Amino acid sequence: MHNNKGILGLIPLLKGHYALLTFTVLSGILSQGGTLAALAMGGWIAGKAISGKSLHNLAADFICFAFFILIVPLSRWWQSHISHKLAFTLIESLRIGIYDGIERAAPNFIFGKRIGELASLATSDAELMEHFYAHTVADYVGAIVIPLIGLCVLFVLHPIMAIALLPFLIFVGSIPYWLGKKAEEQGKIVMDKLGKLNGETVEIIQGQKDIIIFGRSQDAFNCLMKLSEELVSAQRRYGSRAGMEQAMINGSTALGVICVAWIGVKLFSEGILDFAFVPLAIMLAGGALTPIVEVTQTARKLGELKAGASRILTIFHQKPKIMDQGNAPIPKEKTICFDKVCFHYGNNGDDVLRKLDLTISSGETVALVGHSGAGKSTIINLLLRFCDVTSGEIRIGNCDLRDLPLATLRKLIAYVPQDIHLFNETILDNIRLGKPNALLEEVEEAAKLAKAHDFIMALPQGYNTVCGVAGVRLSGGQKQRIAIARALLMKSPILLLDEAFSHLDNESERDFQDALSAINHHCTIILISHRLSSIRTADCILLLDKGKIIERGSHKALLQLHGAYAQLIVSKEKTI
Amino acid sequence: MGKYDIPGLHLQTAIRGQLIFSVLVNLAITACYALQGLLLAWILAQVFAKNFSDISFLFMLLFAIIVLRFILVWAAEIIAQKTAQITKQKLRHKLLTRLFEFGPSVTLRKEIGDIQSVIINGVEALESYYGRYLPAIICAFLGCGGILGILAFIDWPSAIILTLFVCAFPILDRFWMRWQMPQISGVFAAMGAFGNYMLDSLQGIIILKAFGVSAQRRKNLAERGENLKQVSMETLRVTLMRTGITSFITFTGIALAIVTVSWRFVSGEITAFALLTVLFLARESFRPLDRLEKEFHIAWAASGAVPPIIDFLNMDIWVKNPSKPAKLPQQHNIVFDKVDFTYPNADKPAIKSLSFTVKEHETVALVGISGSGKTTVTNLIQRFFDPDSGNILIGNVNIRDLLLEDLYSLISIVSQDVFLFHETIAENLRLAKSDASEQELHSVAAAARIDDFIENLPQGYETMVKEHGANLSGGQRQRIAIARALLKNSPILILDEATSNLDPENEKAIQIAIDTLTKGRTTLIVAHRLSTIKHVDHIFVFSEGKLVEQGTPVELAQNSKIYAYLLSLEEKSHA
Repeated sequence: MHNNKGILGLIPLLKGHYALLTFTVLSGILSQGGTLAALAMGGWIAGKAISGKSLHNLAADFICFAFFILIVPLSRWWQSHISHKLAFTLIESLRIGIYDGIERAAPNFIFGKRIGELASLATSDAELMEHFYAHTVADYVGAIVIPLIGLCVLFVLHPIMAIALLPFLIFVGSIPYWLGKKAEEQGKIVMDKLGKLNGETVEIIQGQKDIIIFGRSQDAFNCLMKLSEELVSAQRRYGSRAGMEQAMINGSTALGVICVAWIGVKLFSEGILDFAFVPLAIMLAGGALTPIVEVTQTARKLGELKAGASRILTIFHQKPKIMDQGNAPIPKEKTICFDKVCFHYGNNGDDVLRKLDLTISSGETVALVGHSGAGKSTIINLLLRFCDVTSGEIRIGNCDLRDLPLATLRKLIAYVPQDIHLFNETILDNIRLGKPNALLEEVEEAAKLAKAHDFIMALPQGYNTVCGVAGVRLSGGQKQRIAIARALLMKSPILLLDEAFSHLDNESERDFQDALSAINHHCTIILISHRLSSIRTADCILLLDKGKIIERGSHKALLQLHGAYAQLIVSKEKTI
Repeated sequence: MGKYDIPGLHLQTAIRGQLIFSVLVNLAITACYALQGLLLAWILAQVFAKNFSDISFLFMLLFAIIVLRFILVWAAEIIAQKTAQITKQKLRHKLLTRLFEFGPSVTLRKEIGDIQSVIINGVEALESYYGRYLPAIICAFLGCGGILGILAFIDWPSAIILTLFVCAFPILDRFWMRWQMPQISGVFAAMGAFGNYMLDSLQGIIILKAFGVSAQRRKNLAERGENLKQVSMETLRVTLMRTGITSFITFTGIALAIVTVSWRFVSGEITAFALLTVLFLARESFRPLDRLEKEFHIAWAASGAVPPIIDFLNMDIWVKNPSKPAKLPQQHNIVFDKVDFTYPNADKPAIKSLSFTVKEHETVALVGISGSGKTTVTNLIQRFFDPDSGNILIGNVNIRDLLLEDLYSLISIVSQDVFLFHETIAENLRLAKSDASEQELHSVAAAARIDDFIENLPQGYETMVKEHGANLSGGQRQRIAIARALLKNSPILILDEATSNLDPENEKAIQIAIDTLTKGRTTLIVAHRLSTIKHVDHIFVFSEGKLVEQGTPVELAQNSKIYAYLLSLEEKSHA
């Protein structure tokens, strides 16, 4: 059991539920121990009867037998009750721990994975843990305790029988490790083939249009069938090896029992052991081996569990990116000011922003322009205080962001992200996400501004239509409009639009631009866009390159500058 | 068991040989267990009678039985795997055949993820049912019967006691499961709902943070978790007694049998051999049931995979080959004659009584805001759907009368979201013409202005395209699509213009490549920007599924309403 250390590493995850865990393990030992005792009693009674004990002598044993027979079902009942309770408790606490960890880290990646990927990975890890602690851990403890008890009793009967059984116990327990490396290799191949089949299936479904137009359906079909055949063959090899393992466990268990029986017979023939003990010894040997056989079925999963546990621990240990300790009042004036801001991700990453200075007056519309990696999204992340500057200062109306309570900051800034997520809730609830008490009129007003009202009303259930993965399928443009309505409802003095129009057609974009100019007397707008039509409406354009602003000014002014911006625009226009 | 039958597959028949073999091997395993118990009882009875003469031989025999069982257990697993393999391949064959019969419109009817999960996970889940559960059912009957039969032969009163309990086990268990199944399913559903809520929250975590509601969401999550625990424990209160009850039946049966035989031995009614046989075989008579129970749970968990598979197979095929196919048209104008079409599940028609003609070798641009029907036109020409009424003709042949593969051979598509296989660039080009020579590849690549790019790659034409063409830009993918279309050399071309801006260098190259491509072909351009279609022969302007304006670019610029409006929109945003 060389994985013990990793498994013990999981224990801290159970903080606060040690009592439940202890009871789960206890109930497991009790039910397994009860089984061993009941079997042994059966052997003992039979042996005693054969050795010629009188009925009167047996009565006490019958009562004892009945007692053990009752213990087994009662303890199993207790076990399934307590272990399910533990499982549900863990579902609650582990998942919330994962939520907290990812919440602290977002929008940063953990393990280099996007949030979506991470979410499903962490969820399946959590399921593994829940199953392990609720249903498997007791079996493992039992697999050590029960054979030891069996050995002790055998030792008392006669030491040689215990000594003879011991190698079998060890051998059966270690079979999964003998074949572990092979199993791991074969398991990896199976996963690999499964992944290939999955990937190719999705690709072919997506590409079916092109495939059939080139008359290649048969090839695509053959390709998938071949991958399926490869997967199934790999599974067969895996299964054959697993079958051999099972056969070995089965065979060596039987050999262990036979060996004890043979020694028992020898000892009896030499007059060392009373015959009454021989059936007892045989039953004990079988009973001692059973719990080990049970866990060999799950032993292979230990490696997977270890990896899952360490991933969960990493998520649990995510440090908060920022401290919410400010207590400054809401700034009256809303000028945004970046003062020599430097920023890099992680401890020794390259600087993403390099001594960036920038001032955006209240009511101004500013467009951030630049190649990807120039630092546009970082500016947004810093402004939303998803992370803090490495050096320098960001102020809103002369108040350092870090001095503002986070709740205040959230009211000051509304945000439309690039990747829109709609929750599996009604459109109404999705729009009033930041303002759960908003009236329907307010929501409709925001939706009208975002050009979302009409299409929402055309849906069968209007604002009560459920969207998200489980709900209606909305187009990219429709999702974007809902996200814009969600931000507009906040009526925040600062509006951040990160590629908020990428899915809108020309007409809706223009309508929305009109709406924006209507609200921007009292609203600062910062937008990132690749569309010229959005960029040129801005009061001021900031051209970023490698974490610095290299040009700033209005569209006209920048064009006259004949600098990098002009070049960018000319190259865009040439094609139009 | 009917719920596992997949209509039209006759899986049970296909694997009958495997099933019989599997049952025989499993019965042999049970027989080995029985023999082991009998022999052990015989040995001990001999020993007790102080008859040691045959003991060594009997132990050798025991050893032989264990070795035999070792082989049988291994063989049983190999057979189960073989059955699973046949089952899975048969089922996948059927599902994939169906997938291609549905055609590309299948993605409008089902999410890609759902289709994938039917074809892959669904099929994987069924293996346990066919490979293990079916044989386990038969073995449970025959195995239990066999052991009880042996016992009856040696000591019938014990056999009767055990038979009562062995029968009570599955009857009570099945009854229990039927009674409690709704509760279990309910809890599973609640757990699923909680899991989805969690996943949804995590995926939207950035927006929750940005709107300052992540703490509120956490509270909801905790409440739901707590609620799940309370309700589930309450619901499962009775269900969880199950393992207790089944083990009560097993152990009481065993204990009663042992106690009575001990009693009767002491009273001198039976032999030591009978007593020991009951001792060793009582547990064995429940073993096939234990196994059945285990397999039942795995199979039950997998039963959820069956309805989606049946659903998928039962979907009707929308587009079918004609029974009497027409010959390929010699001429390639395209005619829409009063075509009506409504997408399934849509409440508004996508196209209303649409009629138009595209002359041979003409280039026509389809224009209109998104949702106006222009993409539907190209979908209908490719017969991804059939019109609800009206006809579509190519060279005076109704496309419904053409073999699908003939129709497809007439058409090439160029779009930015072109599909590229995870193969080499050369193989992706040869998709259009499998026997194209190197020379041909180079010349089409040159014509598509992608030759320089390809030749500068480390492995040139042998460079692998990453999944979803991830190592190529939109423009590069589009130019590969152009090269492919050139290679296919079909008389009709559908050009789906890129919606988003490409970098200028790409745009210029693509424009030149497209000009080469459209020569001598009937071309439809789905245009998203008006600036790129100034040189087409005709423009069709669509609005709400109708053709509202048409003419040359010059005519339309002078005398139109909607086109002029669209033009003004675009000019305003670029002015």
